[in-house]
Amino acid sequence: MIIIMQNECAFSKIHPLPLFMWFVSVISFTVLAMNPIIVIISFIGAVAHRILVSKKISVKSIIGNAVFMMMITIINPLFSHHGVTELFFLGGLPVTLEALIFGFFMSIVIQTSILWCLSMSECMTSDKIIHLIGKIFPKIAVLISLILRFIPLMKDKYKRIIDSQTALGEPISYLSAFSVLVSIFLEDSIDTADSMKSRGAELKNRTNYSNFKFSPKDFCFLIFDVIICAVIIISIKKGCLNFSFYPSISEIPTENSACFSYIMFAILAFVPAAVEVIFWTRFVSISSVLNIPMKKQKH
Amino acid sequence: MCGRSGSGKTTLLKLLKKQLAPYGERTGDIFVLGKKIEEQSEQESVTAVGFVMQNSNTSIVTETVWRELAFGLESLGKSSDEIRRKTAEISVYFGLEPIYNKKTEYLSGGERQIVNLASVMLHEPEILLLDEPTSRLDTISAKKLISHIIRLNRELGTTVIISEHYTDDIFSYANRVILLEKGKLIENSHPKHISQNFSEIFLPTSARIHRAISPNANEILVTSAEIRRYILDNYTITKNIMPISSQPEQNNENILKIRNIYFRYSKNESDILTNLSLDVKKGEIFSIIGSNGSGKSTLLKIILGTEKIYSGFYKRSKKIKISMLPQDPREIFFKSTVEEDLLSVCDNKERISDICEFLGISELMSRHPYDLSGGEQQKTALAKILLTSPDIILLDEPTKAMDFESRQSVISIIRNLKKSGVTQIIVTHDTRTASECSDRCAFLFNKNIVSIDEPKRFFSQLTYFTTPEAQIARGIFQNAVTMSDVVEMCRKNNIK
Amino acid sequence: MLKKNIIYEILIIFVFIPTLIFAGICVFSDRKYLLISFAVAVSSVIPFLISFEKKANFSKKAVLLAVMTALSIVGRALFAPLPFFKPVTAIVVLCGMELGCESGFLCGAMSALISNFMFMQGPWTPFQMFIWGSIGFVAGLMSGILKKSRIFLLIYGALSGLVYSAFMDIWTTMWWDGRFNILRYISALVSAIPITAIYAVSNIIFLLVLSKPITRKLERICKKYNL
Repeated sequence: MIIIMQNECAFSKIHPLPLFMWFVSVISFTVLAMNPIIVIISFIGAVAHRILVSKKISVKSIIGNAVFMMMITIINPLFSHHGVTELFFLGGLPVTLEALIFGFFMSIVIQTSILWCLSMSECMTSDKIIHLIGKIFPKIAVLISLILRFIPLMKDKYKRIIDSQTALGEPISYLSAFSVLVSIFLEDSIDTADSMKSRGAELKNRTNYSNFKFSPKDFCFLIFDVIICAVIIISIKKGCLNFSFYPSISEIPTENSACFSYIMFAILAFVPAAVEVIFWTRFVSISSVLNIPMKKQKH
Repeated sequence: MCGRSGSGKTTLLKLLKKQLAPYGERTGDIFVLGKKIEEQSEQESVTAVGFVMQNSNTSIVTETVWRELAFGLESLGKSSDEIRRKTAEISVYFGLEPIYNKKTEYLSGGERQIVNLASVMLHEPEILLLDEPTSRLDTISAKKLISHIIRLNRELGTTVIISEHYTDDIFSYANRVILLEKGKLIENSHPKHISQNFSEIFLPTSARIHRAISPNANEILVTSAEIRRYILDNYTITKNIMPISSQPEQNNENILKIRNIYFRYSKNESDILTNLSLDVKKGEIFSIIGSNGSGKSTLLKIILGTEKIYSGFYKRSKKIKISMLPQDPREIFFKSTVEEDLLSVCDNKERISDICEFLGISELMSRHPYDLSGGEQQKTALAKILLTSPDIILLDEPTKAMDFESRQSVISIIRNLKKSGVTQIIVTHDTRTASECSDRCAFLFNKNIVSIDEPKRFFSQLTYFTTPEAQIARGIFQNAVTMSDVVEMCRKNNIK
Repeated sequence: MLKKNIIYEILIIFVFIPTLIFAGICVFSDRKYLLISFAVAVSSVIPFLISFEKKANFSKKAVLLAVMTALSIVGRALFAPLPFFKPVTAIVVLCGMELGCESGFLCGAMSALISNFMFMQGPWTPFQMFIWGSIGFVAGLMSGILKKSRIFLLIYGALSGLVYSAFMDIWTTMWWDGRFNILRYISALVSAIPITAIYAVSNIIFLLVLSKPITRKLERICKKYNL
């Protein structure tokens, strides 16, 4: 399983609310729009953002992703037999070109959404999620803080338990050590509950504090997001972006209204990457290129 | 507030705060700020009295320092702006700015206790209760915490009730001293006017030495400077060198050889130990002293074998069995009664009862290990370890959070174990324990061993990071590092 | 007798949500399936969050719940090298059994949400939250039976493994097409049989090993706490 390493993401510097809404908008439209132009724009934006944030391109992951996409492309025609252009027959059922193309399309959709989710994981850190939840449900925020507090403590204690028990001579099974872990933490929970109570956890009307302040820049992002989403939703409702794969592949919508939506969505998809570029160019100057330290060490 | 473990100090302190009051029956009344405790509103009972607990680790409730500070104010329903302002100012007051954004998992014990204190003080309580706040801290962090508490008392006028076993740092600042014994109030007076009934184990070192050398004195000398003055004024020092007893173990072979080892936890981190060399002789009691975070526990893990060095030479014979008594004895238990736990390592019931008698835990056989007190848990863990017949026992902070008598009990067990031939390596920040029971001491600092010597010479050569007794005897008596040393030297000399 | 809150929550999960799905099928065009199911998963969590805010004895309940949830997350991380071998379901079931329906639901939902920080957050998170939460909730409802009979507990564990797998397969199927394709669903189920089997078996194993110790300790603590 993957354990996410935190890369620094310039886009994450905006307030959690517009940040979250931005990602949700991009991912939602990618998945729901069913329009190849939208999906391709989204794909390019996601890839750009991933590369800019992780600052390296791993050949292994590219190959892995390509294989994954190919698999989805190939599997789809085996299940979906709609479509007019029959390529060949397999087990009495037709394998159609449309199904193959649809498979390819879905593979891009899935890959793109996974990439955006990776970006979102890095940008939406735990304190941002606590901020969003805590404004409405402050006690749940406390619960999440407690859980986040216990996790590293438990991991450390688990290792210590294994070490202490192996030192006794017989190595202990993972599950027994886990059982000891449970006992220790349940015992200590009494003290933690006391500590909470003595600082007023039982009082009514709890608020939730966060370091995040809403600035005009965040407000701009929010408004932009809402407007763009509204525009795209309206054009979807109107049918400007309609595209179908079955029974035959329709024409890609290119009227003005559709193009306008494409541009709006492009803004949505490329802003995270653009923010990253702008942020880093502020720090790049001739001196850093020539390896001269920018700031003298304070004595 | 002083008293033995189990005398009722914690119960009394907890009764003063409605949220923490233990279940049970109470007769009599408690008045806090003029009001009966039952009549306090919910909010008053939270904000009027602040409570700092002994275990800093379990008191922390959130994952970052700033959120921990904000916790109390969030409960009161304060706005974000107000919380921001208040947490900022208290961070500056307590010097928490460098760690404001740190995750609580990375804090040291001392830092945690200060964060706890700050978090409690954000309610601006009139009364601050502290239940043995420094007992799990190393000496330097303890002194820092005490200095913050004294500042609070002097600058804000906060009433402070603090229970402690070791009163060196705090006795001179107290306006009143209370002694509890078996739930009764034995003494309640100004520190300078303590009666002869006040058990000397709770007095600061200077007062104890004073009482030992002049039992009938009425004064209480509370600082090291005062007792030094007293000795210099009242004794003509002719004999000033404490004799050091011979150490037959020094002629023994080495049971462990460590040469030029380097260690770090992972490639990207910095070294914890560099170029460290150490020999441990068979049958000796070897102490490693160092400040918090100096790498003492890491060194123990390397000796135990659970961590591997990346360079250097660490030789130990495969036949040598090494065991460790961890700081938290609960890590060793996994059954529901002491008897079952001990039986899981050894079938021989006779041997079990012998060892239990040796350690004094025979009556605890049917109890649940988690229901025992700290000292009892430690002895039970030690029993379990002894039943596996180790050749070397590593002790990680064996006297942590213990009162005087428990500590003496542990020291005597260590000494008795030596007689059965077991080599012991102790890691501690408690200079007193090291000075009283070791054969040799080593000072771990800056990833390396800085000096190794016999304890009396070792502590006598140090001025700042040494036993309180050695600080008192500095320049007066050589090689006097424990209380008995200083008292003995005084008695050898004539009174003016 | 069941409390009012619990009746309300049962209604949400077993009546309101299926109605919502049915309404969505009829009214919306088929590509909005995903959106509906998303909305359903998210909205199912809301009533539990609301009732948690109103709890009495908040500190003790919150800490116990946090300990259980953190244990399930740490368990998931510890056993990560063994794919599909997760103690999460077992611990969520035990939590629901001992601490009640609401705690069971929140344990499951929070385990999904927070462990995905360490693994990967994705659009599947609300669905995982919903299914693990429901497993905990139902364990709470059936706590009488589960506590009395060990076999029932193990059966419930195996069943929840099946249900979890089947439910997440619904999600994967919808992801594929944007709509629900029965054929694809069946094939997904079939191809996932080995995985489902591993889930079921791992739940049984974890329940076998952990049920006695955890129940004993929770009962001990609840007594000490006067919960």
